[in-house]
Amino acid sequence: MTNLISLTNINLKFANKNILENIDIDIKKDDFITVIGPNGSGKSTLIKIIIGSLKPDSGNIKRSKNLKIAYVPQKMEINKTIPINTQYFLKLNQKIDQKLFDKIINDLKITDFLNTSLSELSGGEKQRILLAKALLSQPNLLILDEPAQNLDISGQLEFYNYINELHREQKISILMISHDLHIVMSSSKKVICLHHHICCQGEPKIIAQNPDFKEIFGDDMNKLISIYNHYHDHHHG
Amino acid sequence: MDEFIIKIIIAAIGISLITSVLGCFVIWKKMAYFGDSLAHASLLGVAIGILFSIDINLMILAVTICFALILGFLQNRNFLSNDALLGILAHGGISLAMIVISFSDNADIDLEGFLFGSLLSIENKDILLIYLALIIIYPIIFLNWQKLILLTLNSDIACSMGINPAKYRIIFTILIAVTITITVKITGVLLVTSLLIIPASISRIISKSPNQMLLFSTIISVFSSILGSILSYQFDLILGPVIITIAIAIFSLVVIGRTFGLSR
Repeated sequence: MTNLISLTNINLKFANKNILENIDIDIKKDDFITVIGPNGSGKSTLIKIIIGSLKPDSGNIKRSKNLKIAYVPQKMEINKTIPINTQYFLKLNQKIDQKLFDKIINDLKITDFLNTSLSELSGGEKQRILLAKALLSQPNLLILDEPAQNLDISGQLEFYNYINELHREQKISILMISHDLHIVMSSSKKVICLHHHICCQGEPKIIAQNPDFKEIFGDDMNKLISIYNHYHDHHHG
Repeated sequence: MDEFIIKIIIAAIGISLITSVLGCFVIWKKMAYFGDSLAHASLLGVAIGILFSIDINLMILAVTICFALILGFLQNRNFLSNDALLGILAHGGISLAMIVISFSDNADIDLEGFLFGSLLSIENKDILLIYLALIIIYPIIFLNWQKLILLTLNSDIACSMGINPAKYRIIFTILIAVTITITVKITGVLLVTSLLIIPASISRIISKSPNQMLLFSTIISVFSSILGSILSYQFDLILGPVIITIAIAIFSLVVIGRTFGLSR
């Protein structure tokens, strides 16, 4: 299968510190990849390279012709000097298919604050709007940077369920950074463990047993994964 | 009304049409001090132009673009904060300008005119230049309106949609430099920024969308300019400060009205 985007041997330094070293990643159609790693391990930087807002010092990025990326940031600081409401933001720089628009705002429960100023929205509402904005561009690769960190537990579950649905039903490829390991392990097809370089990658189950993973995340995290794995085996076995 | 006042009004309207639109972006991008610093530094362009008898507009444009480039270079070095860099550049520009001017033999240089603007210095050539700038700036802004707003809101999302922030940053900086160049004769280097920020600020208070903000900013700016031109001509007052005082009076009224809940 052809890759949507291929990164080969990506390197980036900031102030003589290696942020990313020899990163190779291929994202294919129908992939669901989650990037995990400690704070400051280069996850967000990697995503900024993929969306094109940062240039690597060296390395190659090959984008397929039909690649259509949409990006959901960690959060959006609202600039209060711009008077702008939800609807205006959603339609910004986008050809709008009214049917799709109605479906998305319905699915994500945005209808009630379409005319609300962005600066008056809560963290959770903003996150849903950012996702809606991304989906309106009808991407085939959705990139999310810790998209649910400002949500409460039920909000998180709902959010990740929706992402799963998008992946399953609309065949949108997903690349996501997440700290919610229990969710990562249940939904991702592939996990990349990043600590400036790619420590290990593969199916969630296999990653959890990798010594590098244990070293970075420690035993506690490993136990958490084991618990999950047990559940996972049980569920399907 | 004689020909002279009509000329002034036409120039003032042209400048208002430009500054009110760019001013919205200056407010949104929080670049008021950037505009101010470039404007102050542009005095060096005036000085060099006078000393070497080069076209002053051309020198102002060259100096402001040079300063913007130096600023961009220093910002990337990351060793000083933006406001310190802007202060250094602005005051460096003014100091150099004063030294350069002192080398000039020309005894009747109208320094006050360059600092605060001068009616008498407006020529047909300047008006032509103003409307030429308008013809260039408007399509750039309006064809890229949505992209520019998205970039201002979140440059990463804009990037993911294929918008190149660096390209638009350069374009915007050049537009600001052009605006300063054509505005200096009316307002003087010290007051250029006020035409950018005051109408847009008033408009921010009463607007609910970017388009509304643009429209109100333009109306307020053009109104202040026309009224300012007439008053300054009638009472023989200095033009730039009169326009700006009118704009500030509107600003005060709107703030007071807003504070006491008269409008939303």
